[in-house]
Amino acid sequence: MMTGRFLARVLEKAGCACRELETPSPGFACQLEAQADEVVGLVRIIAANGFFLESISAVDRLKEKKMDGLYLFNHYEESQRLMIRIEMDRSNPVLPTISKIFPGALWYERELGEMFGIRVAGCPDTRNLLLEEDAKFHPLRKDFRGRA
Amino acid sequence: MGAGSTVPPIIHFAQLEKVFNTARANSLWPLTFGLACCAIEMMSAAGPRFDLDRFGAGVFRATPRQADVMIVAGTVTEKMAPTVVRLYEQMPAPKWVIAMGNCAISGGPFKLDFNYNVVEGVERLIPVDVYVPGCPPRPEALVEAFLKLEEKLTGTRRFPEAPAIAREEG
Amino acid sequence: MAEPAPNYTLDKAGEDKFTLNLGPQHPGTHGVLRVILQMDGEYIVRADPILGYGHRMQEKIAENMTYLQVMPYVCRMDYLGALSYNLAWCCAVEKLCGFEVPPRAEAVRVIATELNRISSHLLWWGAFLLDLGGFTPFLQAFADREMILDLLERITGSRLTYCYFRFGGLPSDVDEAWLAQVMEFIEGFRTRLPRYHDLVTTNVIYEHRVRNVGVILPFDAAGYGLSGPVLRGSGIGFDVRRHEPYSGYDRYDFTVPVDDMGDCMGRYNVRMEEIVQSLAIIEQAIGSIEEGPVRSKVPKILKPPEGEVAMAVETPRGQLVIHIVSDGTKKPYRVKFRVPSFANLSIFAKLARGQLLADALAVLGSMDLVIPEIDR
Repeated sequence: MMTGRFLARVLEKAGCACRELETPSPGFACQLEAQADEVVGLVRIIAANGFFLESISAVDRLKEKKMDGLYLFNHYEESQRLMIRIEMDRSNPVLPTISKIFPGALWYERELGEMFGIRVAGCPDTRNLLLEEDAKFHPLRKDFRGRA
Repeated sequence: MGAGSTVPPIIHFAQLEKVFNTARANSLWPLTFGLACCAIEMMSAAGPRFDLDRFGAGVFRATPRQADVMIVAGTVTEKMAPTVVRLYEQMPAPKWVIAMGNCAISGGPFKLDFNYNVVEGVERLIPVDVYVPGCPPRPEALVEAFLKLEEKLTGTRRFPEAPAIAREEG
Repeated sequence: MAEPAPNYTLDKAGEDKFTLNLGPQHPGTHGVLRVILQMDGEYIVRADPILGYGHRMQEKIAENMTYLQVMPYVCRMDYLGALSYNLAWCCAVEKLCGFEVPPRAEAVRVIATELNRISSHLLWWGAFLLDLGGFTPFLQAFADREMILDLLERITGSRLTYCYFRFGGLPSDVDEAWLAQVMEFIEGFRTRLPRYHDLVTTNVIYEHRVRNVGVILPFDAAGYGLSGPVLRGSGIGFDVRRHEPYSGYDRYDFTVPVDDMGDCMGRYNVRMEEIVQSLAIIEQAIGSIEEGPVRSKVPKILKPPEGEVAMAVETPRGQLVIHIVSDGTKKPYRVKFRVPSFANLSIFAKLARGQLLADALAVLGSMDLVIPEIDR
């Protein structure tokens, strides 16, 4: 179970909107699962409690035809890693932008868009970050084996 | 012999060219083109222990207009490829290229079947004169590359080549 | 705040404004970074970093190689702090599989990683001053750095991209002679450290170049996810070695240097003090090292259990987090490298606004970026 006053405050305010895992994996204090439309509200509570954005990434689950968006947060005063997992349909993965709350999220969202093809709704800048400007392929998808 | 990878001159002045080639060989000004890890070994080669300046090659120019030799140190990606070619074309003749490190020679550890972003060897973009293997090559290897380049220009080598270590049979 | 993408074809910057391209080949030794600047004379109106010139598909490679085969690639992401990345990968897999590391191996890992940290900070010091226009500090730093590289070459075999640690400990033991050489180096280096301050820190020209340049305020730090000396130079004392100790760091007594100014000088002071603290950590590690095995029993073909793990490590640049998702086979299913320079560079667009061009380069240098780690 998680400890730490900041994390406890976050979960208290978030209520039962998201499901929490019983035993988090090693390295995590808490793992939450939520829906895409709950993300912005949850992240606002997290930001208000002083957490910083560690990373935004994704996992492509080809066999189950799903894609997971992962948000990692941590705190400067005590190390409490919090992960939020958003399960999306692989054929149309959409996430809301949190760049208005955490400005540093913009680059992570650009990278998600080009590497996985995840559309981030409301993202002010959707250019490719690491690939060429006109690259249209998504390398980190499991069915990608090299440029044609 | 001394024109590098450009079209050689039509009229040759034998003795004058010998002087020019010796002068060029002793003052090869490199272009700072460090892309990845090999850049650090290139900087070490210009550093105090493996001094490149004693061969006349310590004046690293940031602009290709003033450089003679381009040391491609590091991995060349598809996004960087047009820049490499443009810099090579901006260098005035005679010019030479040293491909430093495994990535510049053949893509190195990134030559894989799902490779989507690494150019497998800078020789696919520009003509290369000397290849320096290693990941990263030691600074002494870069010094040897300059000695080999001098040998390519003038026909003679400044220091004798180190004798090969005899292989043990069996 | 997050801004929309600039449109360079239609954007009429206005009278007296022009677009300047910085990079991807430029004399700063950070790697291949391109910044498109919109300038009003000497002042920057807008800075737009363009990344990807060093993108080497590291995360895709990690999905297609076994856990041991990924190790050399991980070291080539941040080649200056390669041992901290090596340590992060080994500790992550050990955490996933539940392997114990013997205390002697932990102590040697700490000694080697702290030596690597000192050599990385020395190279940063030389390169930062090179960006500001001074050539002598570069030679001074490299002379001392070569001594550290000699020490590390004796145990690892390489000069730059070390791949020394293995899952479960070390591949081979270190002898007493090497430990004595490290102690000798520490004593000698302590006598040479005042020379660095005489040359640069008290130099009036240097102070004018870095005082009040590129001030990062603490409330921006959480929004961008800063870490490392960039964060500690703004007054927030977050250090993974203190907050989430690994490899025995909780046994050593060291202070985490913090500076309140938030400018380039503050970040400089933090790194110089970190060198001193690293020397203290190495001394304590050598003093408390005990005899014993250096590697625990680990299966030859590693098949970790299904699940995920997150491992955080303090590299010379900041906090690295490796997140591994394993599906029970011998290759990872997904690996995410959260690199410190990525977050540290994302605040540059905000810092550069309104600065002189030379000051913006000083800011870039003070952030100690390694671009291939950002591009992965």
